[in-house]
Amino acid sequence: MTDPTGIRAESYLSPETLSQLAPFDLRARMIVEGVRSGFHASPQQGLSVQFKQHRPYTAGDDVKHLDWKVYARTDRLSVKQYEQETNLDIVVLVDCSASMRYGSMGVKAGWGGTRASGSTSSWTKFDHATATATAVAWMCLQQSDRVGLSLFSNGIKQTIGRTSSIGHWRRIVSVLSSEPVDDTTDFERTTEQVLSKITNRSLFVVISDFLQDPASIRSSMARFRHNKHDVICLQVLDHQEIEFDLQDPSLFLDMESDDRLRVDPPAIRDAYIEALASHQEEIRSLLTGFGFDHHLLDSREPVGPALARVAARRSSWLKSHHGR
Amino acid sequence: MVVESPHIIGLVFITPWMALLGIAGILIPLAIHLLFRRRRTTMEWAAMHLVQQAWASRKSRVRIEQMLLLISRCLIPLLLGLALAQPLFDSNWFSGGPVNRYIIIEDGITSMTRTDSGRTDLEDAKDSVLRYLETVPAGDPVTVITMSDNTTTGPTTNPETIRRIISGIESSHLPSDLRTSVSVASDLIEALDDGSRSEIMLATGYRRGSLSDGRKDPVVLDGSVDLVRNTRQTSAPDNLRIVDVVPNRSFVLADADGSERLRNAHSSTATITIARDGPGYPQTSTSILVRGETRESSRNIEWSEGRRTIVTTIDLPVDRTSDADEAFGVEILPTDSLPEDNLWYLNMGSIDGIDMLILDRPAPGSTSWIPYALDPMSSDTMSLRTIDPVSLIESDIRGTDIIIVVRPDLVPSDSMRHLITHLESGGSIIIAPPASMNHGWVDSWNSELDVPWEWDQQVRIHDRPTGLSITDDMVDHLRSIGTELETLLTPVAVERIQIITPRDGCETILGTTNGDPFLIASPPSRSGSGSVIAFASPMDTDWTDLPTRPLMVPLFQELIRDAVSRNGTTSQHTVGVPVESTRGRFESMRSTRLPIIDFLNPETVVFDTPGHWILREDGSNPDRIHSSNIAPGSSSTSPIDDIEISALVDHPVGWIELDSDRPDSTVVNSASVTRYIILILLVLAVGETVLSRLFTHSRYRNPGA
Repeated sequence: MTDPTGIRAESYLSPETLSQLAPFDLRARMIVEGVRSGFHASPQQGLSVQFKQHRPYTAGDDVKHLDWKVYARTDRLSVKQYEQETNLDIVVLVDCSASMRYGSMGVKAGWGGTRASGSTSSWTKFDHATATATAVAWMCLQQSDRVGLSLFSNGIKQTIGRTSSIGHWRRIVSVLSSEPVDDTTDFERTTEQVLSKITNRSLFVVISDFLQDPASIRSSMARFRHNKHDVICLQVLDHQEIEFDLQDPSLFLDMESDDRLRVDPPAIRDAYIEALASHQEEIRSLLTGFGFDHHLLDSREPVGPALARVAARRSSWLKSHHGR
Repeated sequence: MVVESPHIIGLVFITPWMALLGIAGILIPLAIHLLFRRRRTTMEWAAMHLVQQAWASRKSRVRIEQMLLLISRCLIPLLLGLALAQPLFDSNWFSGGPVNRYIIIEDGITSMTRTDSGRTDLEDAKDSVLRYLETVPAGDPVTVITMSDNTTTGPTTNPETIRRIISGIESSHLPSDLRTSVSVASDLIEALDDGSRSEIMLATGYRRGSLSDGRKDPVVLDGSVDLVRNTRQTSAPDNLRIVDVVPNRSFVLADADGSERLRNAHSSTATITIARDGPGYPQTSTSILVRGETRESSRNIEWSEGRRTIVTTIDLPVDRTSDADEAFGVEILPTDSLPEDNLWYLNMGSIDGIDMLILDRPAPGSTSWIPYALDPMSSDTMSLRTIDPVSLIESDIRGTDIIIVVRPDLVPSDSMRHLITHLESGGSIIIAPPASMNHGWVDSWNSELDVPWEWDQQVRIHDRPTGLSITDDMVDHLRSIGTELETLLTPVAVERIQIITPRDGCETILGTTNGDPFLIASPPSRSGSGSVIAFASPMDTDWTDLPTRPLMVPLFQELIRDAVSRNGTTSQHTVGVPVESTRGRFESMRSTRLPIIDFLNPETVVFDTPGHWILREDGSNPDRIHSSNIAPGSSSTSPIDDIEISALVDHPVGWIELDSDRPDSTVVNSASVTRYIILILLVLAVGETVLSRLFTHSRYRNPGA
């Protein structure tokens, strides 16, 4: 990808830099470029590569697909057959509930952000989620996968059907940048609505803060598992939500309800971090229990390296499960 | 009025206002706490359930932590204030009630006495009081009584205040009155009437001058009062002192022409009493220097071995060319351990002349002896008129200094009021009985004149003429001729005498050798009335040959001058003795210092220092000079003995000497309590810092989320 400014692509991957880029689609392309530049040594080219089976080698097959380990054991030439040979359906689910509106990192006024950040002048979790979602979508479209998008809160708010057209990416970007961010989160209802429309096996990339009740998340994930879908959960949390390094006594207002509480943050920081760690452990165990990926994204960290880590872990998982 | 230090749970504070500041300082952390509560910011938060979980698990602990922090932060200013307030441990809080302590400290004229160590008695007395205060448990109310004026300060329980009071005491020229001071303390103890214990601490130089009141009756104190005294001075440092200087006359007659001859002829004299204290009374000499305004004189006197008092006459170098009052300073040398009593202030009034009126109707052929006796005086300064008693009118006595009544029997009863008016205005009357044997006049005179004697109609006729004898009162009236009086009296014979019965207050100047009063006087009253002098015999040779004797002239001359001198208010005063003054105000001739006005009686003033003073009648023009001196005998530095000290009080135990007999007290001093508070404060400050970091800063710097 050509860098219009002549600056290395990696430098655009940090949220601080991304937040300065007014064109929304430009941000996503910059992220993907960064991911690619970080992956140039990797044997894997995309997320949708999935091992399926071996078949006997026939003349004309590309020798690079020969499985030399099988040849060594059986003295027969076999070729690996991948699902990448067929397009994969990828559905990106982005949480647009009110809790995603939180952000502690300020940005300059007038940056072309989402509707979540327009009023707060801060890099919100939703901003980070959209940047991640567009980057994922771009990467998948680049390898001809079919990509769909759904925005959800207490249900599906907006949906874009799955297609592998490169032009489809612009629609995704448009929807992400214009959808209001409010309401509560209802995973179960969202899952029900999504699965009612998607029947074929798909890869769901769920981007949310996952601060909801773990029971409802468990219920939703069970539905995905039941329908044999694969799920990658990208949990976006603000750095302040992770560190809770607040100093001044404050009145905390829940972003999704009317709950409020006066608290001196330093006095409860350790308890908060313990509670967060417990919550995270619960989320992690339930997702990995279903065989799904779970990745925590700090909204103050660059998106590209985080996505690269997600891709690396996924390929590693694939290798361990399919012998590639 | 000294404010008592507050007691708070067994503590007494030297600077209680600092404790109040400390208490007020509690408001600072409270205010900060409340301010921060009000300044809470509002924050929208996504992970609210995590905050709620954290708060639910930490709520109790956080509240306790915050309370601990708030308490420690409140205690820091409180303890700081308490430490700065210098608290003292009040042992009385645990062991019975406080002991009321009365410190009597010597600050009179003898307190200036310098001992062999070069320190004054007052400095030694202060040191002994400060040592005594170190043994006084905190919380005991202490009252300080200064011995010179018996002023009480306190009570106060604040040791620093007491020390400040003691340190601020300065010597005064007032006489110390040890017995009265003890009596004042006794009165204060009686006034308490609460059954509490009391202690009197006596800090004095034990000089005889401090017992100058002369009383012997002891002050009665019961066993609930402990008596402590400082160590008695046993040495008597060399101290030569002027006890008294009495001018023989309080005035001089001014000579307008001021010729040298008259100046020398009319020098005045004074009687000076000098005493000495010391370890020994060797043979030595003393110089007496008298400084007038233009002239001075001096003389030496010799002390024989063992002699302690000398009474002698000194010449006052009067400048008679001036018609103003004149001030004198009498100084004795060498100076000694108490130089304050080596100088005496004296003054002489100056009057233009003496106006005399004789009420007489000379019988044909008789001789008027009295005018003859007065005639030799200078005509410039003396005027003598003779009128018939019957014709006496009010204008006759106006401006008259002396009225000599030779024929009292002829004074009409209506004219008696003129004589009384004359007396009330400060004039004097000399009365001689008529030469007749009929003395019916005495009835009206006895009833009209308020004199301390009674004339009798009886006349005593001696078979053999009697002579005249000197009496004790003579010295005061005829001082100038005192040395020659015995010689002058010898040839005088008295054949007849009118019987006069003296009463209390009557001064007999001369008496007959068989004991009858011959010349008597009533002292001038303090209200300014003049004196009445009466002869028991007329100046008639049938009664006495006095008119023909050399005594006649000096006797009348002296009587006239003495009467004029004694009339009216005196101009010689004693420091500390109230003086009635309604006519003007006194100004010191040496400084701008004014005498002290007695505010309980605004018409009196009290001279607090020796010196010369000008009485300004209208506030601007100098009028009369007044002199003030220390009380006679008040500067005696001879030590008083233990018996006399014991005799001050009637007490079951008596005085206990502070430095030798008194057991040590177990008193917690101020530093110990302050030290503990500072230690607690430091621990608290460190604790607050640790707690603050522990409570308000998370221990999880690297969350594992």
